[in-house]
Amino acid sequence: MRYNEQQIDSLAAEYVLGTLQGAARRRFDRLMAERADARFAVWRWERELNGLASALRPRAPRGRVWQNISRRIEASKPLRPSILERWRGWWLAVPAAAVAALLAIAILPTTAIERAAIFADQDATAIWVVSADLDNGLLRTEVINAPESSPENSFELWILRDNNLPPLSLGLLPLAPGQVESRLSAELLAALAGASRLAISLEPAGGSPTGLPTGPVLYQATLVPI
Amino acid sequence: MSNYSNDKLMQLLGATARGDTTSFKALYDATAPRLHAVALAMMSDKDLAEDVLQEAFVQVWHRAGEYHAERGSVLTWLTTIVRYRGIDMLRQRNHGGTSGRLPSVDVDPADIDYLSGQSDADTGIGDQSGPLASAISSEENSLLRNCIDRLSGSQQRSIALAFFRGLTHQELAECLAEPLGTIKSRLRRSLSRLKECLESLGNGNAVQRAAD
Repeated sequence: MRYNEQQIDSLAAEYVLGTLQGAARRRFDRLMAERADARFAVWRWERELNGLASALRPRAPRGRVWQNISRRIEASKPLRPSILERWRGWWLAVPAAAVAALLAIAILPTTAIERAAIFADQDATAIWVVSADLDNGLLRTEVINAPESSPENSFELWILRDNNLPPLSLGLLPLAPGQVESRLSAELLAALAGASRLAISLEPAGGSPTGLPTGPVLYQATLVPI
Repeated sequence: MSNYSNDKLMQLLGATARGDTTSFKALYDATAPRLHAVALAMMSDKDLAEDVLQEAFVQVWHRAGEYHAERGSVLTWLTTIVRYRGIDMLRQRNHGGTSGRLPSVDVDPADIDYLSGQSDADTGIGDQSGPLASAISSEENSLLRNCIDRLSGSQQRSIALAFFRGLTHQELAECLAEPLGTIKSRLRRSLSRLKECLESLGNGNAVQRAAD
């Protein structure tokens, strides 16, 4: 069917308003794919009619909407190579304070088997150093540079496991400067002994309500023997 | 509401297109309440409205790079995405065998009737007293406001029900208890009057204004 300019414009108006529906709407979708004038007409009506929305009083959505969005975009995102590359050069990149913290852990007067991971942000600034003393069943977390945070959220630490096993929570990460020590359960100790990676996700305040990460994975780090 | 200028929103959208989740979150925080209001009015259901908002923002994440100034301001473009998502969902629901949404949703024309000044606490529609025109933000949309103001009450009401509630021609006819033909021709006339007014008052500056 041939359309003149006026027909295109009135179809475009009802397309934007939403009253063009069913087969007619699908036909107009095809027309837009084929004809620039149809697209321009729709875009003009979008610019003009959608200002009506300013008549509505804003209404904050519930927090779970963002959590769902965040989870979906994280799931669709390939693991960014920058994370891996950053890790490769971490000895050079991490600031002296973090290296000192790691060395301090390493030279403790003990023969305990320890593993440690440094979490760094995109500028390679160390945020947390996590170390596990497997002999004594202790997890130590040191805050180097606390990230920006809000009262609505907590940062939760996870053991990433192989063979498609779900991550195990190591609890919430501290934000106040200093070192926190906690005792590890036998299950967590065994998982840490076999694990090579840790991750941190953003969760609702108090941690994941499901026992599995629900928010975006913000950081990952390799767990290395020290 | 959001004090972000369109320039700032454009920066956030640009960074979102490059995969920056922090900027995407800032964009969400700045615009979600206004967009949620659009979804809520349309879906008349909290859960469905939040589904629409969620779907729309996942789409924004994937398609942020497709925005261009012809689509209007960033907020206009986001509103477009939310409305089309909402319309899709409403029409699917109609096809899904539910017995039409009018009886269950119970759309009361008074909810939308800006002339009555009645408030609908659940959707925010009619929050302001006075006609539709006076509810439209004069700061961002003075031209649209002026032109809506020149439409008759029944023209304003039909456009408002279609725009905010996402009603079809048939639903409008049921809701306003008028023949389908009357509804269709009134909508057509309303839109062409609106267009004439926008063109004559806008004097070709409408695109510029919307993009600013």
